[in-house]
Amino acid sequence: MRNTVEVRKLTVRYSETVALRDVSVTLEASQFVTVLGPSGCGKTTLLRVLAGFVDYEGHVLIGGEAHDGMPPHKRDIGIVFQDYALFPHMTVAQNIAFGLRMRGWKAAVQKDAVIDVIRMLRLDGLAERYPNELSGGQQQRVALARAIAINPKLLLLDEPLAALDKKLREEMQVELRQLQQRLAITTMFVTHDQEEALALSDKIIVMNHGEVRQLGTPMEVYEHPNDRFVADFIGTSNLLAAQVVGREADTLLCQVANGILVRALGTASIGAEVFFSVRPERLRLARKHDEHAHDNHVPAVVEHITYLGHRSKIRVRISDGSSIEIDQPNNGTFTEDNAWNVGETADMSWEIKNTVIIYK
Amino acid sequence: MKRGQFWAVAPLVTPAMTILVLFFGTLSVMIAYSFLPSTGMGQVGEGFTLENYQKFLGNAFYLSYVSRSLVLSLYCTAITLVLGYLVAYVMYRASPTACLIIGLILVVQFFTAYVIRTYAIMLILGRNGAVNKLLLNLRLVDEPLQLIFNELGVAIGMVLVSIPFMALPIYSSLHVIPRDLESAAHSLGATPFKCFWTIILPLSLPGIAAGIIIVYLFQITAYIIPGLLGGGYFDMVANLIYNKAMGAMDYPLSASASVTMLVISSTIVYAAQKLFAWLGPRT
Amino acid sequence: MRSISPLTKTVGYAVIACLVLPLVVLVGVSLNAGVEQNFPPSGLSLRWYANIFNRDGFLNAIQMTLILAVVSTASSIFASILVALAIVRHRFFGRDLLLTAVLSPLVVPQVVVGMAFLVTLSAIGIYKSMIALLLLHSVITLPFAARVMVGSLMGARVSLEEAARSLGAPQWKAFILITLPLIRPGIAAAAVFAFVTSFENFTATQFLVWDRTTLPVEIYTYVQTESDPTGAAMSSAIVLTVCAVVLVLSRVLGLEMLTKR
Repeated sequence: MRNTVEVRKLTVRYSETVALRDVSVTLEASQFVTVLGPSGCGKTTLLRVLAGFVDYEGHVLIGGEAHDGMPPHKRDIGIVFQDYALFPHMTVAQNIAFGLRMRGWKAAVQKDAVIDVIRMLRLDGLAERYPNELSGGQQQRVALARAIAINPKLLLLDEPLAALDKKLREEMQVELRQLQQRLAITTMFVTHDQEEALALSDKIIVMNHGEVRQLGTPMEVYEHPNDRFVADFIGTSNLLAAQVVGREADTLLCQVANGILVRALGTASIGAEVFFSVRPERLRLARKHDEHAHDNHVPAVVEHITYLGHRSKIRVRISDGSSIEIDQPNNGTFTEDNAWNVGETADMSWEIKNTVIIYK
Repeated sequence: MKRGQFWAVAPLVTPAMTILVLFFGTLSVMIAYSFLPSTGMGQVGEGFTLENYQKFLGNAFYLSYVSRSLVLSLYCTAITLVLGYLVAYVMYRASPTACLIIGLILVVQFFTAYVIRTYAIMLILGRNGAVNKLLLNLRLVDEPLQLIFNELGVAIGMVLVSIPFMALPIYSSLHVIPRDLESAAHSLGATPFKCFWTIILPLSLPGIAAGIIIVYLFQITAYIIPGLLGGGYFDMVANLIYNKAMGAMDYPLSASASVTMLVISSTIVYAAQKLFAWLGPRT
Repeated sequence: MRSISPLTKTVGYAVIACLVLPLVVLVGVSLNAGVEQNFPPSGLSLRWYANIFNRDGFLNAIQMTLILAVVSTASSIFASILVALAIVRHRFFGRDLLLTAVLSPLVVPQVVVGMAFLVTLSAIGIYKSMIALLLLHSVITLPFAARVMVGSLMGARVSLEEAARSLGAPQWKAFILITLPLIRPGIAAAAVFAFVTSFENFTATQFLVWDRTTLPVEIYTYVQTESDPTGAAMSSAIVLTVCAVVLVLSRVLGLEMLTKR
C-alpha cells in the first residue's frame, strides 16, 4: 500500500467558476495528509478529482500511474463520504463486502476479509444489522470498513467526522489515525476544522479560493504561516499591520499605528509594509513592566475575560485601538485574589522570536 | 453542453422526447387545421384562413358556450373552494386514524373514473333518485325536483367531482404548518378564529392557489359532467367541440374552438403562476 | 391537534359523506333484483353483475382498456425513469424546459388533446386503430409517471451511487444494484398513477374509438341508452376493485406516496 499521489497543474472549471486553479501537490506514500480550508475553497473538488468524479485539466498520478480519464470504478480508491453513503438496503456485512463483490472475490474469501475488517473496526456483532439500525459512530465505522476492505491504494475521507458529537469525534480521530498508521495507506482527509487537521496530519495542505496557500507539517503551518489567510485560519493570530522603520543586525524594527514599536526576526527593506502575528499563548500579561531587553512590551487595557477552567482567554485593547487575544494557562499565578479585572491597565509582552512576520 | 455530457444525457432523454414530439406534433397539426378551410367530412382545403375563428368567435351562439363554461365554472370553483377547504381542514384536525380514513376516501375518489362518479351522482339526483325519494318521503316537496338535465345538475356534479382536487392540495399546505405557530399565537392572545384567519389561512394559500387552478381548468373544459348531468340541455364548450368534430365533422371549426380553449387555459395557468409568485414571499 | 369547532366538524364530515354517498348508492343500485334503478334496492341480487358477461360490449371494452393501460404504463415508466435520471442527475442546457415540457400534457385540456390526436391521426390515416389509442395513452400517462419519478429520484442520494462506483461498480451496475432498489416504491406509485390515468381516460379517448371502445366510453354510452342496472354493476365492480387496491397499496406503499400527485 505504499503509493504516492501526485497532482500536477490541476484546474477544474464549473460553468462560471474556477474551483481549482493550477494546483500541484504530492502526497508521499503512507502519509496522512489533510486538506484544510473554508467552504468553497476547493478541497472537496480536489478529493473528487482523485476519486474520478470530476473532469479536469492537468495530471493525476497515483502510484506512479497516470489516472487521467480513468473512471471511478477502475481506480483502486476507498472513499468515506460525508453522509457515509451506506447502502440502506444491505446489511453491514453486505456493505463492507460490496467492493470485494465487484472485484469478483469468491464468497468464502469475501467472508473472511469482511470478518477481519469488522474486528479491526470494532463492529463485532453488527454484521447483520442494517444502516438505519446503527448509531452515527457505528455508521461512520462501517463506511470506513467498507472503504479499507478493498485494500485501496489511496483512502479519501470527505469530512467524515463532521456529523459526530465532540467526544465521539475526538475518539474517532485517534482511532482513525492509528488505523491509518497500522495499514499504512496513503490518506487524504478533507476538513474545515483546523484543530482536527493539526491533530491528525503528517502534512497539511491549506487551501483558499481554489489555490494551495501552504503545504507543510502542522508545526510549520502553525508556527510559520505563509500569508495572512493561513495565519488567520489556523488558530487565532492577532494580526497587526506595520511598517519597517529600522534594522539592527537580524532584528527588524516595525512601527505599528500609533507609534508602538515592535521587534521581530526577519528580513525586509526599510519602508516595507508587513503584517505580523503573535499567537495568543505566546503573549504574557503582567501588572508591571518587567524589563527584559529582548522582549516586546506593549501597554494594554483589559477588555474581556473568558474563564475556561484550565486557561483563560483575555482580550485587551492597545493604544491604536486593535483588540488582542491572550491565552494564559491558569497555573496558579493568578488566583481569585489577584485575578484580572476589566478596565485594568497591564503590560503585555512577548519574546521577539515569537513575532511572525508575514509579507503578504 | 460538453460533448461527454451530451452522450450521457441523449439516450436518457430520447424515449420521453419521442412521446413529447408526438404530443406537440399533434397540437401543431390541430393549430394548423384551425387556420385551414373546412371542406366537410373531416377534410380540409388549402390556404391560410381566419374563417373558422370568425365563425366561432363571431357567433354569439358558439360564444355562449364559452361564456357559460367560464362563468359557471367560476361559481362552481368558488363553492368547491369552500367545501374543499372544509374537508382539508377537518382532515388537518382529525386524529391520525380519521385522517387516514378520509385520505383513503379521497384517494378512492381520485382513482375512480369521472364517468362512474358522475353516473353515481345522476342516480342520486334523478327523478327517482335518492334525493327526491327522501324529499318526497319527508313531504318537503309534492313532486320530484328537476335536479338533472339542467344547469343545476351540472353545477352540483362539477362541485362534487372537484372537491377531492381542491381538498388534497390544501391539506398538503396545512399539513406542513409547524404546530408551534398556533401555540405561539394562542399564547399571544389570539382567539381560535383569529388564529385561523391570521395564521392558518395565509399559510395555506399555496394549496388554495394550486387547488383553484386545477379545479377551474378542469371545470371549464369538463365534458362528462355536462354530458351526463346536462343531458344535452346544458352543453359546455367541450361538448360543442366534440359534437362539431364527430357529428358535423367540421374539424377546422372544432380545432379553432380547441385552440381558443387552449389559449384560455394557458393564460390562466401563466397568470396564476405569476400572481402566486408575487404573493409568494409571504409564505 | 387543536380543537375544531363542532359546527365546522359536522359540516365538514357532511361534505365528506356527500363524496361517499354517490358511490354507496351506485353499489346499492347495482344490487337491485328488478330492472328498475332503485335506491334503496328493491330486492338484492347479483344478476346484473352476471349480466356483464352477457354484454360483449363490456367484455371487449375491458380487454381493450386493460391492454391500453398495461402498455402505456410500461412505456411511461420506461420513459420517465430515464428522463428523470437525466433531469435529476445531470445539468444540461434546456433541463428546466424539458421538465416543463414533460409535465405539459397535464395543463392541456383533455378535449383539446383528443381533438389534436383526432385531426393528426386521421390526416395520416391511422385513425380508428389500436395504435392511435396506444399513442394517445402513452402521451397522457407520461406526465403522471414522470412527476413521481422525478420526485423519487431526487430522494435517491447520488453519493450512494458514487460510493458503489468507487468500490468498483461501473455506472450501470451502480444504478441497478443501488439506485433501482431505492426507487422501487416510486416506480410502483408511478405505475399506479399511470395505470389509473389510462384506465379511466374518457374525454380524449372517445375521439379515437370506433366499434371497439374502452370501458369508460362503454359505460357512458350504456347509461345514456339503457336503463337497467348493468351499467351500475359494471361501475360498482370498478369502484370496489379500486377500494381494494387502494387499501392494499396504502399498506404497502403508505398513504403519503398515493397522495403525492
